[in-house]
Amino acid sequence: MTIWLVLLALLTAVSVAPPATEAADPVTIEYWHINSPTFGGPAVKELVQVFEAKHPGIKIAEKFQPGVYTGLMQQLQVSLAAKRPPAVAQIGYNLTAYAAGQFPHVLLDKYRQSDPAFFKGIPDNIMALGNLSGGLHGIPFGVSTPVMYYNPDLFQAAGLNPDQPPQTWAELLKMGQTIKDKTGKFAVYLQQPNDEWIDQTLIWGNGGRPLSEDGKRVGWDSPQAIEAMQMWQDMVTKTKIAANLTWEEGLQAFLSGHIAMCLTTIGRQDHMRKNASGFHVRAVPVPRFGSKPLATATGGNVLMIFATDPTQEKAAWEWIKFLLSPEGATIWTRGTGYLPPRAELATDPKYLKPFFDEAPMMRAALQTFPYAKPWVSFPGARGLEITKILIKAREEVLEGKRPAEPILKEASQQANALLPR
Amino acid sequence: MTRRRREWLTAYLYLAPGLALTAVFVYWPLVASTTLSFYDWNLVSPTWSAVGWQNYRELIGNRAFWLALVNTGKAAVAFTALTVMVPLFLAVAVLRVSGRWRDVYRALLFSPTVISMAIACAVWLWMFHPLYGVINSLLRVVGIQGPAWLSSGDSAIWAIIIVTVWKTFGFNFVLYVAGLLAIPAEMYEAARVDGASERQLFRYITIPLLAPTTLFVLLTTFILSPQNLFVPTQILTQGGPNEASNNLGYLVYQLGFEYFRVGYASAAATLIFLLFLGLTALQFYLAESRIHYGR
Amino acid sequence: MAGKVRAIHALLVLACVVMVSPMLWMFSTALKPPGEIFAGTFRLWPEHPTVQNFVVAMTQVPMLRLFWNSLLVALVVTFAQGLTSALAAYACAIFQFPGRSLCFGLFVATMMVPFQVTMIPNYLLIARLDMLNTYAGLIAPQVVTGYGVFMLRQTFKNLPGSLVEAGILDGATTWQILWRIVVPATRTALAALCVLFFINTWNQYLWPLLVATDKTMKTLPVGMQEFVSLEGGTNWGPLMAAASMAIVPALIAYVIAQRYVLESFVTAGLKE
Repeated sequence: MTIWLVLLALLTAVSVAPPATEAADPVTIEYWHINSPTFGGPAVKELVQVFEAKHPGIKIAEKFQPGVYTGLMQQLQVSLAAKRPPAVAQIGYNLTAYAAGQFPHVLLDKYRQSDPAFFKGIPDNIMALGNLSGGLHGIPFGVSTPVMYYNPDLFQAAGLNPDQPPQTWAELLKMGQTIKDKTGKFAVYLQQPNDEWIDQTLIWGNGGRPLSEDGKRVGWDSPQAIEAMQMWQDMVTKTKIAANLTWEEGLQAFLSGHIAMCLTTIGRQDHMRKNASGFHVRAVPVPRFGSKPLATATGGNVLMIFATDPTQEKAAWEWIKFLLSPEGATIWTRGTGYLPPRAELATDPKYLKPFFDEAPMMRAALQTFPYAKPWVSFPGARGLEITKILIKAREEVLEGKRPAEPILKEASQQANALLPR
Repeated sequence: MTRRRREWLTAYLYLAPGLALTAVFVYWPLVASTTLSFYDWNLVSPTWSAVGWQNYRELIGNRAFWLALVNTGKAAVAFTALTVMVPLFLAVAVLRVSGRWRDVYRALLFSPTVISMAIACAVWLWMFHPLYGVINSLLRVVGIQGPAWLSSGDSAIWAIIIVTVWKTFGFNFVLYVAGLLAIPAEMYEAARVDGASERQLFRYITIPLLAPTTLFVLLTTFILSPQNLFVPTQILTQGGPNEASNNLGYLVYQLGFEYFRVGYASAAATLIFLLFLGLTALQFYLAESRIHYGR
Repeated sequence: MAGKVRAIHALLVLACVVMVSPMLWMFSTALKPPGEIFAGTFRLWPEHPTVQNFVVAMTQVPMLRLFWNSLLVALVVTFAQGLTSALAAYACAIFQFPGRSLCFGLFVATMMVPFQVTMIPNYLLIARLDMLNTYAGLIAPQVVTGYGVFMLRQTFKNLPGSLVEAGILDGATTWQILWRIVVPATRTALAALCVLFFINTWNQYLWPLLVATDKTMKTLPVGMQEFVSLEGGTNWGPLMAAASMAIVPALIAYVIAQRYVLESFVTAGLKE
């Protein structure tokens, strides 16, 4: 009995040891990111090292948040409620409107006056990704595009030329049928995660808009959206050349050679390369809709500043500037497979040209880059529910019990009701 | 002080630490949450509004809520059969085996409990794979075309239930074993001397003496079913496809952490709490009167 | 008789196969190099088994530190939960006093409160008390558990009345009765309960995720999430290797409890 009491006392003593006190100098800021050890984690550490060497007065406490952007948002919300937010955090594009509208943060327009040189280096269409309802809420940082990975061995087994994967959806439907007939395997998988990135890519690609210009209507019931989603439904339920699987299942099936083509983020290219079982993965831009130009939704994140203390805010801004500098962007791109926000770095031998030479799949992303459209995030306090409504619509479409049109019309109606008037 | 009063005081002293901690860490949050359910807030915005019963009305009108309710009901029934009754029989079976085998079986049957639910889900994701997963492969051998477990509305909730059953089975199993071991051997010997058959032993000694444990297992399995369903739902289906696998445990999370509508989520949580409180109290009073405890 | 025993063995073997086979995949994956994990045809034993995943798991996350954090928290919480449950259950099972049912009900009802309800207010409280990223913060909200109170109340109440009465006649105090009579008499149940407490706390994810964000304070389940990335792809090999290593303490806890329980009751049971 006494032994237990002693043990308890010891353990309690260890437990209630006070946390280490913070030094008065230098300034320490928290940076929240989603870069796991195999997805840019070492790059983050390197960035921190290089930055701290250049800025001895600032320390970066980088913290990995599990659950990708959604997980980070959840942690962010709770920490904001406790008034202990990080100074800087990565906010996924599809969550930016919600964070900008509902979470207290720093508006960054004022830095346009103080740091014009910084802003000149970033192309306008990229900077626009952080612009929402007329204000600059975050600096676009991660830039990814969807690409179509494919399995050249399956193409060959079907008698198709592995160097000539389909460039349009029409071609894909035809080749897909051949692959299915000749090999019995699924031809294609379009990612089905808990977001509507690919759905938006389809809508943009077919000439539609996920959200109207005035922000009052979602674009899922436009004729272009209906046509694209009906095509997807037919691939799954009628011709059965597309697999209807959860994201992780679909990617695993592709890696194990059960599916010939896989539309998902370029961020996965390193994982694909390492884990493909018995074949070399290749990548090309996603198919176009006939003669319509290529258009894809842009994935990734903006950097938003949540610091309330002016010293922390200043340090945070320095960190952000470094992350987007040519040196920072190079380290970042190498580690993640995200595209650099400054396109010219890709061909600059001093920066990223060697990387792009070593990772041929990145070329598909580079080719897509000029056609990148925003990943629209829905404004208002109910924006996140709108996203869920549209995801559910997709799930219902792929289940195939009703045609796409009535499903999308209903969903759009529900979604529009939640948009701010 | 009279002896009775002293007994009361002593009892309250024993209860004090537990009650105090429970008040701070469970009941105060519950009260705060219920208060919050009458507001529309995300805990962070500087603006928030009082909405009266609006959250509750919206919940009743929400399709996801009813699906969640039905699914939780399905799960509760499945759990009663598979994690309340089956572990009992297996516990009895294990104790009939002697020596090394008994240890091996006990450890193996308990083993799923040891890994974290998240890892278990990761493994089962692979097993449920419609194209090459173990389950559908085995079904194919018998000539059945297995469903797309996680992507099909009809099977999604069952996939979650299967994982949950597999994972929580060991908890109840271990408790039954402990309960069975606590039954004194003399009772069985005396009854055998009197000429009782194995079945009679089971019916007239084992079952009644195990009743307190059985009641406990039954009620806690029921009460904890939303909580146990949560992690598999979050990892495998996120309530989909199209809310088909949503359940009460996940619903609160979805409303509060996917939509950040904390007031709305609190309304759901309060409703769930009251629902389970009522049902559990009912079951408890019905069953407790029938159990003959040692004291 | 022999046929019956064989039937029982067959049933148990079947049940064991169902229970264990997913774990086999876990171990199998931990030993496979990346190219084999998603091989089209499944092999239990890898073609080129490797310990690389274990090395990666140990180096990419601070495994030892995570282990220690998880262990410390789990041990303290188990002890605390056992203690508070025993005290409360003792009162509810043995004593007579007004409000007994209510108090018992209050403990049991805590299980019905969805954890999402308690998580955030507890987090805000811990944050305000400056206990984030401390062991105390990780431990504090979990010290009482309705599950334990309920279970021990059932067990204590089921003790033969003569046991406690004998203690009273001997002039023992309630404290002495609890620790010298009641607890020893129920140690099978207590052991089972403590094992469950330990395993539950060991595998806990959501609360440590909120409270321990510093690298040095994370617990094992939270640390293992670093291998999971839906964006860049989950690192299955090291994840399964980490998971395989993570179950060891929980298994040890179970084996210790099983031995302990078995040794106390050599003759009890339903032996034929």
